[in-house]
Amino acid sequence: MIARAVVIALAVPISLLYAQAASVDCSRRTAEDYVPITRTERAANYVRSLTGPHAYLYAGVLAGYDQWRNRPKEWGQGSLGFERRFGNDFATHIVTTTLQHGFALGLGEDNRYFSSGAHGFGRRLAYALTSPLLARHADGSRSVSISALGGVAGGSLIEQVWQPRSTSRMGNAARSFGLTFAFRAGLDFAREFAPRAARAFLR
Amino acid sequence: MKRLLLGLLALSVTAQSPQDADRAVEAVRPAVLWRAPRDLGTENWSCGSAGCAAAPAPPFYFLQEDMEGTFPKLTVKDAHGRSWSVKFGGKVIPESFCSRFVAALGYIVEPSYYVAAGRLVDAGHLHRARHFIHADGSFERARFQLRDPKMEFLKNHAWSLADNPFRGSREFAGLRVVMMLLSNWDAKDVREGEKTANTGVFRAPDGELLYSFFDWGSALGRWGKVMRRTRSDCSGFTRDSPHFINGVRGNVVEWGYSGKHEDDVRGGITLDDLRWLAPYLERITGEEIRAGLEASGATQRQTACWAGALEYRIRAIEAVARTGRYWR
Repeated sequence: MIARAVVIALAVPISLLYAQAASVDCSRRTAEDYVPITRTERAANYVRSLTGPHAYLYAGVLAGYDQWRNRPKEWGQGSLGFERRFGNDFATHIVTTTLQHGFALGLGEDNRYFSSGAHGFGRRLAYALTSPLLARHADGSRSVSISALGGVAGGSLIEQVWQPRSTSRMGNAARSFGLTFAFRAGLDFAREFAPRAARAFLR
Repeated sequence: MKRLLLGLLALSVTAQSPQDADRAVEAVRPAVLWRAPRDLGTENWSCGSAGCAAAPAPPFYFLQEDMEGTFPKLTVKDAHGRSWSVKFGGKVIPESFCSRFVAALGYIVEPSYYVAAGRLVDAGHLHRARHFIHADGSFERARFQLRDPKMEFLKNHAWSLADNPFRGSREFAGLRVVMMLLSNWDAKDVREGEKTANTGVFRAPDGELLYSFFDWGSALGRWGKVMRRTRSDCSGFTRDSPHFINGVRGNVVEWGYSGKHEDDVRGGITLDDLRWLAPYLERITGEEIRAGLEASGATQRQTACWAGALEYRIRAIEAVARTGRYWR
C-alpha cells in the first residue's frame, strides 16, 4: 500500500519532468545557453580536447584514410603502418589543440560547440558546417576563428617536421589543414544531429 | 631575568590580535542563519527579493572595477545614490534567480536584480570588464547586487561549512539541501581563504550577525568537479535531476551532488531535515519560479527547462520527506 502511494507520488513529478522536456528540448545545450568561458573551463576543455574520445576518433579516422590511400608510402601497410599513421595524427592533434587553445586564450575566443537550437534541416546544417571556422566572444557574438585557423595551420606545418620524404611538402600541409577542418565539420554535424546517447560521446 | 621571561610568556598567552578581540565581542551577539520566510509574492519574484521599488534605477555611474574573484565585476552608483556590484557573463542568471529562491526560503542573501540593458556614465579604463561594455558605455545582460549600507559586510569573517555555530541544526541542513537543489557546486568557504570564500557574515543594524552563503553564481548547471561542472546550463541541470536524490539509507538521505567540500554539503542530512524544509519549499509555486527565471534573464526555453527540473527536484524532496523512501 505504502509502496503504491510512493510510486504514484513519484510518477507525477517524473511525468511532469518528461512532459516538460517533450514540449521543449532540454536535452542539449544550445547557442542561447552560451555563457562566456572561464579560465578553469578553458583548462578543462583543453584536457578534454587532448584526451577525449574525439581525439582518438580524429586520429583513427585520418589514419584509416591515409592507410587506404597508402600515404605516406614509406610507412607501409598492416598494423605497423596503421600505428605509425595513428601516432602521426595523434601527435598533430596534440600540437594543433595546444596552439589553438593558446591562441584562443590570448584572443578571448571560444571554440566550443553549442547546438544551434534552430529549426529546419538547412539552417542546422549550415550552422554545423560553418561552426569549425567560427568562434564566440564574451558577448556571445561569432566571428571567424583566428585561433582555430592559426592552430590548425600551425599544426599542419609542424607536422611536416617528422613526415617522410614523399609527403614532406607544403602541399601535404594544405591537405592536412583541409582534412582537419573536414573532420571537424563532420564532428559538428554529428553533434548537431546525433541522438542524445551519442552526443555524450561527442561532447 | 627569569621574571622578565615569565612576564613575556604571560603576555604572549594573553595577547590577542584586534581581529581576535572583535571575534570575542561578536561571539556574544546573536548569530542568525535563517529567519522564518515571508511570502515574496509573484511581484517580488518578478522584480527581486527586495521588491520592485529597490530595483536599480538608471543612469548608472561607474565607480570602479573590482579585480578580485574570477569574474569581471564593477561597482556603480544608481540614480538614487545606491551602490551596486555589477557582474556579467555566466553568473548573471544563477545569481539573479537564486537570490530570490534563497530569500524565499528564509536564508540571508543580498538582493540581486537582472538588468537586460543599460548604459554606464563615465566608464573609465576597464580591464576584465571591457569585453562586456561597449565604447559608448552601454551594456547588456548584467546582474546588479545591492550593497546595502545597513548590512555591514564583516571582513575576515568567512566561515566553514564543516565547523560553524549552526552545525547539526535543521536550518543549516536546509541550506545544504538548497545548495544541492540549485546545483551550486562552488561551496568555497574559509578553507579556501577569506578572499575567495563564498561564506560570510553581515552585521544588521540591530547588531545581529547574519551568516550568509552569498555567492550563487555557480548554480543552475551540472554539479561536479572541474571536468564535469557547468553553470547557467539548463540542459545539464535537467539531465542531473533524476540523480538529485539517490536513495535513503536508514534515516540519512543520499544525494547525487558533487562539488567543492561535497562531504560537508551532502553528508548527514536526515529525513527529519527534509521534513523541516519541505513545507517551505511547498510554498513556492511553479508560477513564482517561472516569474523569477524570466525576470532573471532566462529565455522561454530555459525557463521551461529550469522550472520543470526544479519542480521535479522539489517534488522528490517532498515525496521522500513524506514517505521516507525513494525510487527513481
